[in-house]
Amino acid sequence: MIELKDLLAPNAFDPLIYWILALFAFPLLSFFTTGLLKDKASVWSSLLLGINTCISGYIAVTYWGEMGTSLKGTWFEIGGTVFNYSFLLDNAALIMLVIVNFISLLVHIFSAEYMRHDKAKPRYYAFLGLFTFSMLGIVLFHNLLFIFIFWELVGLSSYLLIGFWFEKKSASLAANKAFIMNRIGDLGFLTGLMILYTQFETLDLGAIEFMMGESQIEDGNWVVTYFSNGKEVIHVLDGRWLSAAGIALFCGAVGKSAQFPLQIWLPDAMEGPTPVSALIHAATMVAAGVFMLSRVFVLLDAQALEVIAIVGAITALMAAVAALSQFDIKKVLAYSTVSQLGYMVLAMGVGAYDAGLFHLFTHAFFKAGLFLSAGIIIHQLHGLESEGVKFNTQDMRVMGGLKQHLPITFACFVICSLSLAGLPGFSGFLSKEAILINTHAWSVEKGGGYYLIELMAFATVILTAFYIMRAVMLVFTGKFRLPELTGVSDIAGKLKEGNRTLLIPVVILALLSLSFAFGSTFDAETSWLHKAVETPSGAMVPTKYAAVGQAEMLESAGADHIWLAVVSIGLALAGIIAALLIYKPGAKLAEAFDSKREPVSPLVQVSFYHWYQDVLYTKVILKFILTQSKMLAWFDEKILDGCVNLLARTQVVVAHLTGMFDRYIIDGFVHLTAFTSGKVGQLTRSIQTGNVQTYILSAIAMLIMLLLWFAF
Amino acid sequence: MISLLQSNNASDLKDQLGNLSEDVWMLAPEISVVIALLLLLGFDLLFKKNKEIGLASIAFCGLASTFVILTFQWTNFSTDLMIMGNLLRYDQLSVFLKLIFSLGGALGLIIAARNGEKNNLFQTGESLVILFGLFLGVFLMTMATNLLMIYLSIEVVSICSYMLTGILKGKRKAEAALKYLLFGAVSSAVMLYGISWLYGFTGTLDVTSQAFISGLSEVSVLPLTIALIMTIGGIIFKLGAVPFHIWSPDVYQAAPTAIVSIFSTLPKLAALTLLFRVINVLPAGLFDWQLILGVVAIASMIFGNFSALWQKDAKRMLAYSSIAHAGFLLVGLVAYTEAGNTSMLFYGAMYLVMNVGAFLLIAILERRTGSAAFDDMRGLGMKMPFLGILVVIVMIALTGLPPTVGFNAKLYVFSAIWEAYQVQNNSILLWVFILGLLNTVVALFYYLKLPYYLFFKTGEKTVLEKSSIPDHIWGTIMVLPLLIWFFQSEWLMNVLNSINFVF
Repeated sequence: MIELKDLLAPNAFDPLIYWILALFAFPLLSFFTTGLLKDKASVWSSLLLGINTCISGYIAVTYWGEMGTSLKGTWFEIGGTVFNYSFLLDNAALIMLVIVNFISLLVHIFSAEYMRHDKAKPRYYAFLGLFTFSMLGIVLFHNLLFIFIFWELVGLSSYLLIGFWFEKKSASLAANKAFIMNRIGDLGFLTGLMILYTQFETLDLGAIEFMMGESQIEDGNWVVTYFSNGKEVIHVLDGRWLSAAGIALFCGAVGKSAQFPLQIWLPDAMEGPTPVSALIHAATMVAAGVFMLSRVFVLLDAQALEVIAIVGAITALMAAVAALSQFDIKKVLAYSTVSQLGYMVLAMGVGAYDAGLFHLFTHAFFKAGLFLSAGIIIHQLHGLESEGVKFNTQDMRVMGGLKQHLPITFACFVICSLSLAGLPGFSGFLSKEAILINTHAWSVEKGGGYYLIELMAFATVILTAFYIMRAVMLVFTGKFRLPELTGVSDIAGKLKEGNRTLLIPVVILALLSLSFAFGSTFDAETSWLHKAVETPSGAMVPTKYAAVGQAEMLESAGADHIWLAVVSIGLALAGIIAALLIYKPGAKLAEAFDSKREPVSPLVQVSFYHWYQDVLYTKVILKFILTQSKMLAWFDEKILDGCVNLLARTQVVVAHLTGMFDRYIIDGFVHLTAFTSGKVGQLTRSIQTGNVQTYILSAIAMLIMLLLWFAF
Repeated sequence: MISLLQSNNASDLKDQLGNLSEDVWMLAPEISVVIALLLLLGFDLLFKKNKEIGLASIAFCGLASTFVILTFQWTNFSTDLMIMGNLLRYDQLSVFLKLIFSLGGALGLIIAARNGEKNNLFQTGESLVILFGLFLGVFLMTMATNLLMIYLSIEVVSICSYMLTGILKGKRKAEAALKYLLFGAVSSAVMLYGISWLYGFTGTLDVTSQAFISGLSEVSVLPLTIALIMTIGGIIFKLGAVPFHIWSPDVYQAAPTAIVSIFSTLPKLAALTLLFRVINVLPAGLFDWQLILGVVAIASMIFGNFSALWQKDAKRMLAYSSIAHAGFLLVGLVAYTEAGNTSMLFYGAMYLVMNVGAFLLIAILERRTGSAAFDDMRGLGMKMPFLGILVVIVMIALTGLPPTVGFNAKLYVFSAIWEAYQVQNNSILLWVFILGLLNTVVALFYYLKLPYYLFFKTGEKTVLEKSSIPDHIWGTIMVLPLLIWFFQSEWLMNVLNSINFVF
């Protein structure tokens, strides 16, 4: 039997804590100080983040190893309840640490050029600092309470950055939407925390994991026994609460990682500055949900995992379909992000912890690369705008043929796109391949309807390849459509490649999207990054509820490895070729693209309006809530207030009655007492006549009275 | 002295004298007071003009040296001793009381010094000399264990009091002094008569001797009761309790405020000590003194409190309040337990502080308006808010409400009597408890009268003098302890608990 206090006991002092504090301190310093600077804000905060990246690199190299290094300490104590903090630096955390800092640094540098003319630049950099600080909290802490706190902080900084151009109505609305959707998910997260706290009396993940291993299922009840402050406690919950806890925690991830049905905030979040989209809404924050799932992975039982897998697959497919018909380049990338996050969640759901995290890491690079490339295009097109010429710089209908004008950007965009599509030789291939294999193994194990999930995963492959290649073709090939649309013919000549500040981050990200960066060309298993994160063997969940281990599943489906790869490559190629053919210069669809408007065909509408999900929410849920609240308001005004008023009136009447009682009965009694006291006083002082003879006489008389009384 | 007379052998006499000279150290505080008295007398005769500073410094130095000697005696106290041939008893109780007496005396002198030109005690030496005579008297009262010594010390205090009342010119003062004298003469006659009966019963005046106790045991109840009640009556006269209380309102109103502050505290506590000593030597079961003193306590509380309700003068009101407080002081004595003794002493010490503080503030107000009548104090609190607040605190303390030490004092006294009732089951204790508590409520009405007049009434009377910073300082010094000790009463209780009350 284990004592809870021992699990939470602080460990010996480790100088590592200084490094961790430094990691938090630099972004926070950036947050507090950049607001004071004006033009130097970008340099100053990039410098601070550069230092932070170096520190994280140093820590990653130093603490790289099989086992995680953990740090524990007591935060505060109330009575016998200990609230502790703990950090865990395992490989996953170290990689995340480096990625967050590194991509954040690249975005800082990129933004120096991108935001050069923005007046609110210091505010922008301050928010970036706040975001980095909060994100590091999620990565480093190993206590769900702290993770939740920083989770909310990340939500806040995301809200602030989406609504950075808050004077634009759509931006502030998008920020609100993101915030509210995330709150709904966080409600689930909080519920999960409550269930876990009820059972374990702590939110420290290390302690929870340990006690989870000790817990058992008896008669369908989830039983855990331990000592709390020397007293034995036995917590018994219905076994279904275990699944509920897992699903509730997953709800948090649904919000943050934009999963069905809360994913609608992410496309709208593209209202924020493009570098922010690259950092927050592609590479890091949205991945936090997946990362959190990996942190609580061992607590997830078979049922929770099933829910996760299904939600992930649905999200992946839905978003891939939606990406097919968008005009806005950032929207394409946003739906693509949602789709890829669906893949990661699917991977977690099928028990492929390693594949999910691996895809998270590779995706961070190529998706950030895509966004920053798009950022260059938008920024350069924005440069063409003038007093008389206004156009939507993100609309692909004004682009076309940019290959000649922006060759380096084109190269980078293509590399990242192929990585996204999952062609061999690019990083995306490795991680997606791993996910697909695991999904297949899982479907084989489960059988029946679960093959549908595998089908959805594979369908997404071809859709992904198609939509990204469509974007490449529409943006970079054919003729430049802008001069025609605006009627200004010499405008094309002014379009130039972005400068070095813009290009260097993009090139770095593109290089990191090549598979050799991860040490392997064809097989994910041999990649160093994949090896670094190993699926926790033997889940902590009681065996009755535990899912089938990844290793066993893979073994049973191991023979299909080769042909699965062939199928997935084939699907990707098919998608790419289809897009090439349909949108090649001179093809019918490519030629007519500039005059294309909102679709009328119902099938295309499903894609364009993202399965009508927004409309559904506005028309049904929102309306329902508004009607409800109107009814409640009526109830409150008429019924409740009526009761209160009646009560008040009754009280006034009673008060009058008691007032009368008080005046005549109580006061009468008081007056009587006062009157009596006065009379007694007059009597006692009547001796004091001023006549000394009377004094002596009365004294002697009283003495004699006393004597008589006592004597007889 | 009796024992001195009894020794007719020459060598015995030598031993006795040797013992006496050893006892001188025990009497060092009294000697210090006498030296101060003589110095005051000499100084007064030698100098003709501008004597204030000289007289004041001699008086304060005298009290200071007494205080230092007493502190020394307190810290070096080893054992209880009968000294001067069993006339006096040197014990912790007497040293403690003398300590607070010298403190109270000094505070009284400060009130006098703050009193300005009018009624200044320091202009001539006479009143100070008599005041030091009074100090000597109360000092001896705390130690006296011989009936003759008891009588003599009470007379010293009484005669000094008569003179102090009448020493300043004025018809009212002369009248009060005369009343006081006549009344006092009757009380001392009664007491002396009682003492003569006791001497007749026992053949000794030494109340601690075995002969006295065994002599009393042989007497039948009726004569014994008469003798004891008459003897105690004389002590009660100094205590200012019913039935020998009637002199106090007239005297308090007439005498200078500084003198009244001393009258109302020092002799009262000294008389209480005498009563305590006499009661403790009485053999148990011989005589139900608890009933007598219980009745006296109840009567004093009722007389004092209810009469005070009607007073229109602050000093006269405090005179009645001091009658009531004599009753409250007796409550601790009536309990007749260790806790009762301690709480009585605590109440006494706190009463001294509160009362002297109250008189200081009244003296300050009196100086503003020219009289201590309530009507003249209308609206003064709004003009002098700081002093007004101090008055409120003191009055709350005298009533016995938190957050002042007056509450602790009443709490200890009444807890002591309640515990005593539960142990002894004597019904008079219960009556004392119930009526005492009721009287506390009555006290609230007249004590808060002064704050009421100060703050809620408006008056046109102009202020004669601006309130000065020293007034504020002295007022704060007197009042602050009342608040501090409310939270830190353990400190004083620990000191009191260390006192050995056993005879």
